[in-house]
Amino acid sequence: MINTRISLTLFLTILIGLGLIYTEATDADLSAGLSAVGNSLNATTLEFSNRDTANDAKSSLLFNTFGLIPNGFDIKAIRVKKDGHEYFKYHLSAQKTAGDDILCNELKLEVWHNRQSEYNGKLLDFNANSAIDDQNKDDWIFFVSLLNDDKNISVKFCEFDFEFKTYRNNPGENGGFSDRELLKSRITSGSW
Amino acid sequence: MTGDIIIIKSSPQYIKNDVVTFEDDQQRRVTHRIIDIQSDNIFITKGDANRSSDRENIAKNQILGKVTLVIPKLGYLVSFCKSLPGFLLFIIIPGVLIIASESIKIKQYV
Repeated sequence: MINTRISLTLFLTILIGLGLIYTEATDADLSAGLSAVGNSLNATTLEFSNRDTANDAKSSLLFNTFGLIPNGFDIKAIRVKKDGHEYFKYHLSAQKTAGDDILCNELKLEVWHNRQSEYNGKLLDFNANSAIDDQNKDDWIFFVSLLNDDKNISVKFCEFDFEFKTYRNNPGENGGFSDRELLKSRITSGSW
Repeated sequence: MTGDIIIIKSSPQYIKNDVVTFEDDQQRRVTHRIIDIQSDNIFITKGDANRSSDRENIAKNQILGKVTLVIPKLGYLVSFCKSLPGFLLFIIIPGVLIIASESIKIKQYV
């Protein structure tokens, strides 16, 4: 038999137990969130063109020279013009597309960039980097000549492109906002 | 803190920095602190351990009450009490002992 004090203790235990059982839980709801405010997304354009320096007309053909003889030369000039919104850097190079390998290798190129001498050497080795800045234009003068009088390169032709390719950080990169323009040229050697 | 027991009391008015228990839109009961009051009926809450405020603002009628007493660690006893060993220890065994004792008493009187 249980005495009164123990009975009371047992009753209290049951009461406390019932109280605890009916206690309800709340969520601590641990969470973390960060808000980045004031974001904006702007779309822009990067576009440029090659223009004739005389009349500002768009140009896709540069040299179209017939009968180039030893010690002969031809001169052309173009202006790179920003047509889009974004300023850009660009890489310029000459690449053979068709024709006689020997003639193409014998063609010499002298380049003036914004009236400063930029390059003097073999046509197909030409590489240069430039940028369109606040002035929005870039002037190039190309002076092509033939010094070799080897008869093997007479009555031959050489087709090549001047490639203008934009880049953001490195001249070799691809992707992102970019534009590429080609200026085609054809030079035919004369007979001697 | 996890494991604490809180006692809440309904109040006609809640102010900034009150820790309140409320039911959110998913019917979960959450205990967080009021950090801002947009109008009389809209409260912005945040857990003290959280870096950001709660996504859902709460209305006054969602608040069950504000915390008036915190008993540290007693929640673990609640969890134990709701388990089978706890239920036996707090309810069944005392109940059986009381019934057995009272039965013996009745027999003796009879």
